[in-house]
Amino acid sequence: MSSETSHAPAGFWRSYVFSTDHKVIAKQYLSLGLFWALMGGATAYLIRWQIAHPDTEAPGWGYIAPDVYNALVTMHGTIMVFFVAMPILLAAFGNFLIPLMIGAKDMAFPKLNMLSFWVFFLASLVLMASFFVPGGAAAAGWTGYPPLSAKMEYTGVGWGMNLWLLALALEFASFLLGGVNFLTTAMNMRAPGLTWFRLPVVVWMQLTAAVIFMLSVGPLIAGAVMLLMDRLIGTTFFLPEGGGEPLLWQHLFWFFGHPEVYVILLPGLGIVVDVISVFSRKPVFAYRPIIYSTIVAGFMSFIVWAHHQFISGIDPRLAMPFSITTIIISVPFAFVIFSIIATLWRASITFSAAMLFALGSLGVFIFGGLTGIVNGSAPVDIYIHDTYFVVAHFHYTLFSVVFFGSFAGIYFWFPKMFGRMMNEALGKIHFWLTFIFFNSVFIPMHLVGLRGMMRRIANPMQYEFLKPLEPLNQFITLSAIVLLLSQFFFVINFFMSLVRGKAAERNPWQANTLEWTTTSPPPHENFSTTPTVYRGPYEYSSPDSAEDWQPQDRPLSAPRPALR
Amino acid sequence: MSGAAVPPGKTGTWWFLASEIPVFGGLIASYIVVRLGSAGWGESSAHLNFTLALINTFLLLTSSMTVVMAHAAAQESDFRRAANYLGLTILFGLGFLGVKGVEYTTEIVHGFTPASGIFWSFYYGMTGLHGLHVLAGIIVNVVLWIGALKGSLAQNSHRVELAGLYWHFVDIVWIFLFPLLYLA
Amino acid sequence: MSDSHTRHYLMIWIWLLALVVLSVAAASILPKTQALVLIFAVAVVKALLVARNFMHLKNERAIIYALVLVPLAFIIILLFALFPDFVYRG
Repeated sequence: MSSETSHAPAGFWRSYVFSTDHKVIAKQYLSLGLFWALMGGATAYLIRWQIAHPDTEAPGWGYIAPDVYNALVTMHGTIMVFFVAMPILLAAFGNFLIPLMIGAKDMAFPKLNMLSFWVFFLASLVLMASFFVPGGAAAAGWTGYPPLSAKMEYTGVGWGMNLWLLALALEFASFLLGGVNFLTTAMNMRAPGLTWFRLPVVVWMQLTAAVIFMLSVGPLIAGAVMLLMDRLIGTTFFLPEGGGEPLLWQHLFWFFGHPEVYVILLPGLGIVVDVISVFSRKPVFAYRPIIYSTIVAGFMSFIVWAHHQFISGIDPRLAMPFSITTIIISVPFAFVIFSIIATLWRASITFSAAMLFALGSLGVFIFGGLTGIVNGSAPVDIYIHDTYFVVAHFHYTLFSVVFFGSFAGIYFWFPKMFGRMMNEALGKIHFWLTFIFFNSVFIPMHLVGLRGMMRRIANPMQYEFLKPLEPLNQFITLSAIVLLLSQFFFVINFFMSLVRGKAAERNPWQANTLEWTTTSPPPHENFSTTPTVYRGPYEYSSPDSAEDWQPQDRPLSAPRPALR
Repeated sequence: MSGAAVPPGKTGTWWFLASEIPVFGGLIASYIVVRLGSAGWGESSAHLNFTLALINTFLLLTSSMTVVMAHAAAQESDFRRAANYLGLTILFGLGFLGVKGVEYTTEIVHGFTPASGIFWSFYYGMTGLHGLHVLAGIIVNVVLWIGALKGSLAQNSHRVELAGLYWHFVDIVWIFLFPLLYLA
Repeated sequence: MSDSHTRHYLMIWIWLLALVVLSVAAASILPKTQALVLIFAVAVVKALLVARNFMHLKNERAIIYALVLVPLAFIIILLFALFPDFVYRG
């Protein structure tokens, strides 16, 4: 494992651009992810404007034509899932935390790590380019169903769709390389004494997410190759006129697409667990069962996928088994949620900004999980599939981790990443505005969906039966605009703190895990000497100790007394 | 889980292969179900050149043997021998691609293009993706072969095993593609 | 080079070639269904020979085996889940 062990100052390019240091790479992913979050937010604004005020000019943009609308909804989903959620939750937090939390000096393959980021950067360039080619960006939904996506004449989109497929392929390659790194690093490079069951929950979640991704993305890669061939060289994998099967794409897509949502969920959930533990000054309740539940949920995530296809024309005999598995998968997740609640029970809670976001994430996720059970039952789904009820559901589950979870993680680990403290007051304002306006966007959206408003149509007001929903849609749009604007509190706080934040000490939160034992930010190679681990990560408020925390590398001074 | 851990390079390579199994697995599973659900594929597959595919099977199986011989030689630091076996592996790989090229050309000249229907879509898709993987493997083997000749392979001799693992994977995919496309 | 290694790899190669011959023979001699069963069984055996001997899987720890078996299991699940929609259509 080569790394720059010499401490001669590396130039600007090696230090900040072409660095193999996992901490720099993490920040690169974070920056690019936050940039795409702005783009994703812009698409959301335009989509909401068009729904609330169809065929008017959106302030700051102009008229949104229907085919442009289709591209907007497509790109909104693609950007948020693959270019915001994955890079921030998986790549940025995973890269930053895993080596630090296991006491390693870097990832197992630092150069491969750097390559992963630059492949992702290339994917970003390709996706950005797709907006500017003739015919515009991909417009067949983020799910890209053929035949619509398979022939240029159906959408009018030519190279935009091809570049979309290429960008996704590059993104998948980047994350596959990253997954190889995460898993090998955790398997091989844990510090002495750091057994598997002394790892923080967030590391377990990152690893499970990596495994799920590695094993589920393959069929979609195959499908993407097939779709690209249909578009470019005349094959007919998905075109009925050539003997092909459009439904095949759906299966290949969702075989990956469903596990993918858990790939996004788990790191965020892990962040929530760890942040809550620190600000409750309590061990995580049922640590091992949480790990086992997560692994079970990981396995199960591979056998629920067709719940996305209940009314697509699949064999009706598939509906029942997939409904059953979908409802069962809520059990391990419910277990994890109950354990988090039990962690909070009778805890001495500090409502820091990070904690508020973690608690907000928990509440939002519970709500989303409940509507998930509703959606997962095939007879109900027949009515609500492709309505805004589904959109409301998945925004609850996704937002809980992508927004609330990411912010919890950023507010929590910002001192370690950048050596400065964020402004707590601004953080709390950011939380309350986000929480209130998020709910005011998406709670009414359930109603809109139940009343029959379908997804992906540029002008709902063309249908008489939807006209009564216009005021509610306008309310949602107004709330969405305020929600988006509220993020400025974060942007200002982030940049201000980078430059003028109070210098952070090693362990401002008095947390136990290994990253807090080194400086803020950590030096190159992280630790002056490799730590030795004596304890689990959650020895908070231990009766054996006067302090309410015990770092993992603090030796045991005496044999532990028996638990009462 | 203590004791001698698997070296990181090997762990990483096996994770990579674990992620490749669903790529070809997904494609092959799709082929199997679409084929089982349609009639008349036997007619299309009769136009494939069985003899050439048999030659390719021989080439890949033999190249799997030569690459593991290269690994054994590298383990004993006999880099001259490793280079020879790597060279053979590369030659067989190039042979495979050459034969495939002949197959494709003949088929296209006879009017069996990727646009000729669902069987041909799968044929070109599966063998094409496999061929790209063969090409990637050849490139990796060439890099190692040059290292063996120059002597620089000594510092990273374990990489021969890792490249071999990838090459065997590509061989195993062909072990299934051959009967699926040419014998069934 | 270690002779036992060489001999072992050569033996496996001979077996692999023999199995190819067997498959080809089966395809021309046996009735269709039996030929198919035999051919794919042989393919599995060939794959196992390469995996266990050339890839040294038989000497590796259980976790490496898991890295092969788990994705295979998921793909088999995918395969069978696709049957109703593509094979059993009415």
